[in-house]
Amino acid sequence: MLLIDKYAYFNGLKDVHPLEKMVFALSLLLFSLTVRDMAVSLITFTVMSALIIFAAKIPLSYYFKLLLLPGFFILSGTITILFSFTSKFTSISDLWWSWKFGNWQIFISDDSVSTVANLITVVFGSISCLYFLTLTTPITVILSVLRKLKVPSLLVDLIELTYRFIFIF
Amino acid sequence: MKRTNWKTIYFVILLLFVPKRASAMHIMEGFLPIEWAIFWWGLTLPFLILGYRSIRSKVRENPETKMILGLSGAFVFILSALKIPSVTGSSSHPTGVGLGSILFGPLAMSVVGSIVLLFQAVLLAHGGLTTLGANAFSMAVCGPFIAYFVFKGATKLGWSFSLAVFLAAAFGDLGTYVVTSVQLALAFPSEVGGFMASFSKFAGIFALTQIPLAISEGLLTVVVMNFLKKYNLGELKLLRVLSKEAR
Repeated sequence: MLLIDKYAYFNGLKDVHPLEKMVFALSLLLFSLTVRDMAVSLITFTVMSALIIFAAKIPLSYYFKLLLLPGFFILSGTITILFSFTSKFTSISDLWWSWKFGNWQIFISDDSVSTVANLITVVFGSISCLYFLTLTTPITVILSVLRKLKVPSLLVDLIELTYRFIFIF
Repeated sequence: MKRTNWKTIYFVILLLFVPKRASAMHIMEGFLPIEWAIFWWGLTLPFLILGYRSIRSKVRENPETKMILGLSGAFVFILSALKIPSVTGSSSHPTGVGLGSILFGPLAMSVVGSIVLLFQAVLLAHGGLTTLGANAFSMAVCGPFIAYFVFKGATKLGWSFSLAVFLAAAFGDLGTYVVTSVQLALAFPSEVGGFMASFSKFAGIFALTQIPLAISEGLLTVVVMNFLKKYNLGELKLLRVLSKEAR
């Protein structure tokens, strides 16, 4: 039913220690989010994708499908950031595109173009880290690491129970 | 006669529900700048700790509540797996937040809701780990609290049970949507008009999908609650142990 879950159990990296995978994926995720640099994000994306496809041996077509999932979200999300509107004809210096009707002005500024370009690369960089973790590490294994890290046992129990019950429905 | 009535109502609701399955939008991984991701995590954490404590004390009294919470978490997850994309880097699906907070109370719901969000991020690639704090704040903290207080208020005013449930679920959803819009607007303010302009952009675009969805989730929750009341009185009584206040 859940393909991500299936691949988490059967992949080329299943025998790598889960803590190593978690530390690797999460630290790279946090790093690329903190620096928010296009080059760093592109490198992260390339490295993670290569690991997912060549080391973990996830089929390229499935990984591509997973990438398209947020691809669609970000397309629609960035449109909102891209377009701005104002009621008065303020002179915005660096207009990339603008359109006026009545008292309103709809415009795309240079700033929002660079914000969006940056956002798209950062999102794909960080999403590849998340996919690396979820496609190579089963939930049960992550939970055993959480237990070792002394996360309150009732919380881990609740997460585990929820996970187990998912397959009943 | 009564049976056919129920069937008609059921199918009308189902029709309302199928084309755009109710709501809740999750901000995707990497979409929020790290400062905002940390900020929302920080706001969510106290509620998680309080919720954890309330669950712990209930589990001590009644160990089987742990099972019920796990089961309902899984059920909410399955409901939410039926998702549809919506504009602005997020997507829509039923939340079950209204139902959960009426049954379990808002504090317990904040923990269950966050667990559901975690699985959505990890198993469905929907939402994210760094944005989990922000998503949990809108869907597992604000939504349940609004739903809970609306339910309490409507009951206090003497309104009917069904109306109170409907309003609670619908307003819980709307609250979630407004908070998500605020979160996105704070992270991406417009150059002209700043936060407010950006908020009206996000909220305006969300409103197209979220207001009908809130209404359909409200109706769905009423149907589910009425079925529960009819066929599962015993379980509901057990749940009242979970949250003494809700009835």
